[in-house]
Amino acid sequence: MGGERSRRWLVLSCLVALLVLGALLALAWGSVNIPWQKIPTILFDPLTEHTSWRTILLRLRLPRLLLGLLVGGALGMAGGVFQGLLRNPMADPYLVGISAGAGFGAVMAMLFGWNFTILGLGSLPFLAFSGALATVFVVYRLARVGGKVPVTSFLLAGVAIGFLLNALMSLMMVGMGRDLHRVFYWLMGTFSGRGWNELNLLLPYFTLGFLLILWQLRNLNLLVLGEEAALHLGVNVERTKVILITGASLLTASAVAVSGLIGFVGLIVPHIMRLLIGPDHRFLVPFCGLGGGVFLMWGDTLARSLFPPLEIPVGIITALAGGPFFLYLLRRHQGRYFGQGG
Amino acid sequence: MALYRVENISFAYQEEWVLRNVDLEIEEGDFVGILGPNGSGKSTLLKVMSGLLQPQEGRVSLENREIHRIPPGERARQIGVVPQETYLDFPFMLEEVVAMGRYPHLGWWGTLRYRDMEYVEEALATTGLLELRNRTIHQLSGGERQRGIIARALAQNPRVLLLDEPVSNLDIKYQQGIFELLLQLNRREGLTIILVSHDLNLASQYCKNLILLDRGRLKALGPAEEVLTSENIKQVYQVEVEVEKWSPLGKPRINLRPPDLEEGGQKGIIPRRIHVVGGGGSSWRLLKRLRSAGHELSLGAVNEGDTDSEGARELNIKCVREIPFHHISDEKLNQTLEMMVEADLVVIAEVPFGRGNIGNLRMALAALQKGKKVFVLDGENIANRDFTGGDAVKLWEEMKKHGARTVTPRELEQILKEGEEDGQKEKN
Repeated sequence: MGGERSRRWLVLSCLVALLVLGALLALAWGSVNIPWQKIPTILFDPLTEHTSWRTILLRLRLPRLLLGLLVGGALGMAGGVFQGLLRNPMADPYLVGISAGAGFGAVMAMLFGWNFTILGLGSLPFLAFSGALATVFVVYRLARVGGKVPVTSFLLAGVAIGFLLNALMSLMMVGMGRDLHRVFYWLMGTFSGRGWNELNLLLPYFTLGFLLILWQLRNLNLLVLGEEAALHLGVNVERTKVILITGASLLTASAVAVSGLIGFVGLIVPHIMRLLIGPDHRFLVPFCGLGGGVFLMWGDTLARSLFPPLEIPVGIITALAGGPFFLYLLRRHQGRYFGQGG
Repeated sequence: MALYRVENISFAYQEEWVLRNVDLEIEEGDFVGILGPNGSGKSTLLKVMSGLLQPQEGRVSLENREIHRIPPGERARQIGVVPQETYLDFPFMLEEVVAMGRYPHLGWWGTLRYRDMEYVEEALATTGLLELRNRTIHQLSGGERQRGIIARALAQNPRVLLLDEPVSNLDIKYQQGIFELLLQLNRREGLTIILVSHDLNLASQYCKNLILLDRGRLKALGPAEEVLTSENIKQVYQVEVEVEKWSPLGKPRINLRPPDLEEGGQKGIIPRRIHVVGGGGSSWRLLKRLRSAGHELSLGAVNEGDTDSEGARELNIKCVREIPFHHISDEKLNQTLEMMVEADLVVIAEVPFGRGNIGNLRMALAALQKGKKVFVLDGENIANRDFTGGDAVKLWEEMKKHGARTVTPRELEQILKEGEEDGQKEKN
């Protein structure tokens, strides 16, 4: 156990170092390069002489950096929770119909050109967010048998509803013509043009979802043993599942609403973290949050500074960088991960 | 007051009743085995008792509290469950898995205190897993993993331990190991143990009480001697068995009887009528062997309550019985002689002869004189078993003159197989 603990400290230190370094790079790099030594003074001194740099930092780069952290964190944690909850290593936050629901809502907003504001939300994020949550709710109700929600039927109902919504979404896209590339960009996921508004939108749901998950982390650890075992060890299984699904769905839906469907973070970050610190979900899920945040922050920095002024959708970067790194870890840690047989 | 009370429960997964009107009580400190064929509802009964399933009718209570009304956390401090399936998807270390048994005793974050670690240590030590504590669950063998899950249940520090076929996938060494472990826990810690088992003999050997289920209904309940009778087993499992009531372990032992023996014997053996002279347990093995070879048997005369007399009763063998501790009367001796004459041959086991049963030898001599074949197991050493002051030896000498043969059990088998003794070849 001591080994586990020191390992966690080591991983935590590395993540924090990557966070600080990445944050500095994200603030410094871009179409205008700002010397990193000056960044603290510019940020904390309102009377600085570099007013245009200060504007760039405060209005553009800082909110975007924070957004990347939160979205990555949300996806990472939701992925960790869903993988544990569904006891399926292929699970990610989008598996249970969230992506399809959000995509469906977003494409509707774009197709019909709706433009309204509800509770300070634009039409697109609002429809994406509510589409995602409504889908999870429907899936949950469909999977419910006699007061219980078996994870298998939850998973299957999610996949089925997902296919249905994706088909409808494709149907709508056929009729879109000019706007198709917008949809395409949105589906790949991007932070381009996002700022404080989106951050404000995200924060309350992020906080609520995070607290719900944190509350049930210990029970998630037991659910991983199987629902019967969890029950025998004193877990109120159905209640725990509802709370965890609600929390993870809130995190995912709010992340999707502000940044589109950024893939791979929710699938791969939990795996990487499990390889690094083991499967104790009380630590694993928060580490997924931190790891996902750092990962996506770096990804976004690369996305907007590799080919300036062109911005690549950050989902492409996460896939390109995450895939090979994951394979590398997998081959190195096969023993621990798959047991002796490998 | 009974610790566990199962009151007239019925349970159905869908339409068909899996359990029907099961009613029983289990005392604190008991060691109970639930037996029954596949699909008889054993595991379901265990799941109902653990609170995992709720019966449609009746109620299950632990110390007068209905099991479903007990909140999960509190229930987990009372009942530890070892499920049949012990596979785990995630690579937890053994120690982590065992420590999870402490969860019902812990706070919100699940921080283990020193006391909790002591429980984990003890559970690991009891199950002999201390050295494997840092292995992941995937690196353990089936038996080690099974013991790990038992250790987890022990770390819960429960009053009752429920186990669903805890040894089903293990070799006999681990089977014994786990049952011995359970026996110790039951004896030393007073832990109440209820387990489902497929192995009648293991259950008979270790459990204090047995529950026999037949298609969802309670067939029998009580100590092994009462539950594991050949009639019960035939009715419930539809197989013919022989029950040894006094196996060396002092518990009933079930032996399967191959079905072809029911149809009249093994190949190469001509079924015959054989009369056996036994007593004091001397003929028990012989009777069983001859019976499984398909012969029709009779025994006598012996005293009522004698080991062989009970054995004959168990095997359903005709037997002449005298009142306990009496010399065998002339009336019984005449009956014995009649049986000898009706039989194809007479076998005399290695019986000690005293005043009470020396009459049997006289009858055997009479049968010889009427032309019966008589075989005496280890006849040459009859003097060692003669407690009559030489009468048995004299009778033996006389019998030899009339053609009685001394044989070893092996020779007897050979003779019976080849039909070597006179008269039999022609007859068949």
